[in-house]
Amino acid sequence: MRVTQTGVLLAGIAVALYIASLTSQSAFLLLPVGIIGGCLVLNIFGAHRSIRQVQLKPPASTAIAEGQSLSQPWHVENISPRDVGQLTIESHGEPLLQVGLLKGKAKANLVPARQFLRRGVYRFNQLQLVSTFPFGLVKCARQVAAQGEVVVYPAIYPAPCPKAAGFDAVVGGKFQGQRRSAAGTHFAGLRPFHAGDPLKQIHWKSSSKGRGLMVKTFEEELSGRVAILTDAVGVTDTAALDDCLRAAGSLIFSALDAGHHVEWVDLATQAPELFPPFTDGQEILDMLARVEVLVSELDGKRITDAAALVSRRSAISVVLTQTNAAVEEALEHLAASGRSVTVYLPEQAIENLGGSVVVRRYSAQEVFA
Amino acid sequence: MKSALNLLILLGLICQGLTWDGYALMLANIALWLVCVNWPRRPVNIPQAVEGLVLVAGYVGGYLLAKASGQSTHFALGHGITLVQAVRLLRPLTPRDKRFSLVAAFLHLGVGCTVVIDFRFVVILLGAVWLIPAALKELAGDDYVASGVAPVRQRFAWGQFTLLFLCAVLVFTFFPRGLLGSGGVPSFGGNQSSLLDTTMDPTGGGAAQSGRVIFEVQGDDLGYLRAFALSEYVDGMWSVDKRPALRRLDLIPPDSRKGHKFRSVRVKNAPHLGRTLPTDGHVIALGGNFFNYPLQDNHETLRVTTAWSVPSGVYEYWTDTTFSRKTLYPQELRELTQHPEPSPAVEQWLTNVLGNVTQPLEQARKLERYFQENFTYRIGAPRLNRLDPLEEFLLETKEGHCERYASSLALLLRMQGIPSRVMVGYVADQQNIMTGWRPVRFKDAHAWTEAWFAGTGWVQFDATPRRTMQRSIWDPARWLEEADFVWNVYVVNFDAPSQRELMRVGTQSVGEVFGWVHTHANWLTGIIVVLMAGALWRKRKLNPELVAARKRQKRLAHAANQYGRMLAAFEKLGFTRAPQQTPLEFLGALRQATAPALPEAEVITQHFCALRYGADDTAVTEPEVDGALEKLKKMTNVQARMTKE
Repeated sequence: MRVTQTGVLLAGIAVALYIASLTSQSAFLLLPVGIIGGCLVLNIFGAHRSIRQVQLKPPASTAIAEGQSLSQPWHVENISPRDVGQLTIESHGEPLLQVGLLKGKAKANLVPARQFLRRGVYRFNQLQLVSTFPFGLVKCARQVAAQGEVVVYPAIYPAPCPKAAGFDAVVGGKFQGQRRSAAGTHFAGLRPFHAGDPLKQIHWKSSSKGRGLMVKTFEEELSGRVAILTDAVGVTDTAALDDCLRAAGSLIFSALDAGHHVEWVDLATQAPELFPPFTDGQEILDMLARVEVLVSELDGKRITDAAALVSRRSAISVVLTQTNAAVEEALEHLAASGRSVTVYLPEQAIENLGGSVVVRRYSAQEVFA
Repeated sequence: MKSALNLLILLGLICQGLTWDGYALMLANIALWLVCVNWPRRPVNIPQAVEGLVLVAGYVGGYLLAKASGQSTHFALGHGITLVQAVRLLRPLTPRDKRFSLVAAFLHLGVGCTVVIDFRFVVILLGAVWLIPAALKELAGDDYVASGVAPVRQRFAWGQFTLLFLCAVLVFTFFPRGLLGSGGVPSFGGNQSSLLDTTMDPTGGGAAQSGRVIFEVQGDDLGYLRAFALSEYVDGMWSVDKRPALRRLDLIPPDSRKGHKFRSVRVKNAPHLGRTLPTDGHVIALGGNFFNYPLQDNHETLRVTTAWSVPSGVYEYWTDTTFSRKTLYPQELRELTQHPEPSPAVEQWLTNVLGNVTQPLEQARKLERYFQENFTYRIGAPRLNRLDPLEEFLLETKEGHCERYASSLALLLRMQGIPSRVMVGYVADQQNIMTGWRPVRFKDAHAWTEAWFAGTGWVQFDATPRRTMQRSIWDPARWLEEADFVWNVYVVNFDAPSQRELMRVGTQSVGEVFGWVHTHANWLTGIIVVLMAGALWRKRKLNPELVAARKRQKRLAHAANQYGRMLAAFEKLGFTRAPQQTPLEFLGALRQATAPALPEAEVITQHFCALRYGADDTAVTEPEVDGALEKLKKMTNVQARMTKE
């Protein structure tokens, strides 16, 4: 419980009136003091009742992207027979929902107007119910543990596909190889039947022309491997981390759309995740939304260890919020060992990387080619 | 216009308007408020510097105007704030602006609390109790206008109003006052009392015959309250003793013993008393808060050398009822028997009235009675002949006010050689219906005669024919004055000593109540238990839901009984209901079997099913069911007889 600005103002007026009563010898000045005191007392009871007698039922779990608002209603119920009101439901210190007045035993279904601008997980078990009912002089607050959460995904934007390596033949792969295959989507030509060729590969129309059995061949379809490492170690600027994860998410989706295998490693947790081509992006976005900052310093070892966790054939794309000499040394060492290494850095970040490491830049809304 | 904040601003402007005498400024402020509130509002950004200039302009203008019109310039800054409030009302206010307006309204309200100390303050207080919380709600609700469930204008909250009013009164009553109320005003000098004027000539100006209360007195067997003694009669004029014998009065309360009486007096306006303290009886001790050095003269009147105004003037005294002055000094005897030479007509009149009564005390009583029975009380009787006013009064006019009777009786007694004097003071013959104290007004001023008898002492005689005095019972002004006195004593002059006294009495009362409860705890507990049990029983009995449930249960039991009787009757007729059959299935079976008394069975089954399975009453009435059962019973009896035969 704490006194609001208006409460402090009124208390000041009460003190001033009391002093005035001493100087003017008029005890009537104590009556407004009494009214103010009464308002404060009633406010304490009213605000306390408001936060105690209100039940919240938020929607179970909601996923939205950065900049979006919730669309599902929250159920708010006043279980007391008396009015409650001036309620603010706060999440992470910011107002989520406001209720002006709720009559006794009344219910309301309200959609929070709040726009979630930052990636993250907003759990409802950390909600705070605040009320200043009815006079706005005293603020009472209560922690509310409700089920559910709002997961705010990073806002993905179109980005150039990161460099891929270690191409393998994959049906539906978007890259064309030099060899021919027995199946595929792009017809390449005919060749004579060899022992072991499946019968369904025989091109009966050509074979009927008397040149023996001919079989169909197709263009080889390949897909590459991309390993994306993201930096959530020792980041103090949360906006920079959000930019970093937004860029990483955009690169992952771009790579998946290009038909590549994507391996993702959070440098903080060092837990590798593999996403086959054309994977549904929900899972990736959920993971990116839940990335938390590790309070430590990013060093070269984390880069080396993370690189060891991904396929040796993958092209490594490291999305960093900052860089330092140890990191740069590790990256150059990786490049020197024959790995394809691309570093994505914020626009203003200063780096001293050698030519073996490709450097790309990103901003809050764009990854520059 | 309906905004609570705007109304609070109006209340503040009214308070500020009351700083001037009359209602001109108040009405001007109300008009200003009305114009500003109804003026079309436009979102204009007025710089703070401009508002500062408006404040200064209002201050200077208010000051000059007040000075020019002879009004108080004390609250000129408030006029500046009034102007700023008015300017702010011309545009939509931000929350910050509204807070400023709220503070300004409080400042004006504070001014009202300082200058308005009469009944009008009650209206201001009630307005404040209503509007302050409403304005605060309005301010707080502004932040939630855009919320899903916006605050709506609520009805007048009586409970909240009462609570806040009680809070205000509690703070007023119990808040430690410190220096509040202990200040005094410098002493007043001169004889400002108009008592003598009022008594000698009630038709005169000033406070004569005014209903204004001077003080209130409390005590048992209250007698005439002496203020002055007119003992010297020289050249046809009564005057006070020029060389009285004075003695200092004890300020310490006497030990409680039989014969002492305690009186308490609350003075509304001490200067009206002059330097006298009206008392009855022989005062032996005195205490008070607005005078020093109380002195008692040989005529039993009290006077003080220094007195001053206080918000709540009080004095208390103790009298000795057993006291009587048995002897008088020769000088006193000479002075108290001085009288003009009576004319033959007066002597004849005296002889006629007294007849053969020779005993002095009886003579005095007879004269007193004669005046009371044969003369008429009249205010504004024609002035008497200055040469021999006594003769003219006794023989011709035979009417007048109290002073004439007191003076005449005193002179007649002196002519008989009885030392006497005219006493001027008050008669507290009414009682305040609110407090139980006896109010004393200007018009309660009175004159009577006191005569001294050897061996008996001083005896009071009131020759005024009170039976002929006209007293109005219906006198609203008197009641208003009484209420005003209560207001002044209990509210306006409620100071730190009053607060301490209230706390002492309150604590003592609470202690007594606890003691009483402790003493009677056993049977009190029993009564409380019985009352609670009764309340619980009553609640259960009168609970509409419980009552309805019980009623329904009773009807259901009755219907089940009727249905059971029907089943028994049909069993006698050879139709038995199988255990698995529902009532309707059994009725269907009866229909198929074309059983007798089918309509009666339908009525009873419908009634039972409606009560057993439906929540509401049936369309079938109880008499119909009873009739059907009766028919069924007869049918069964006929069947049984036929079977027997």
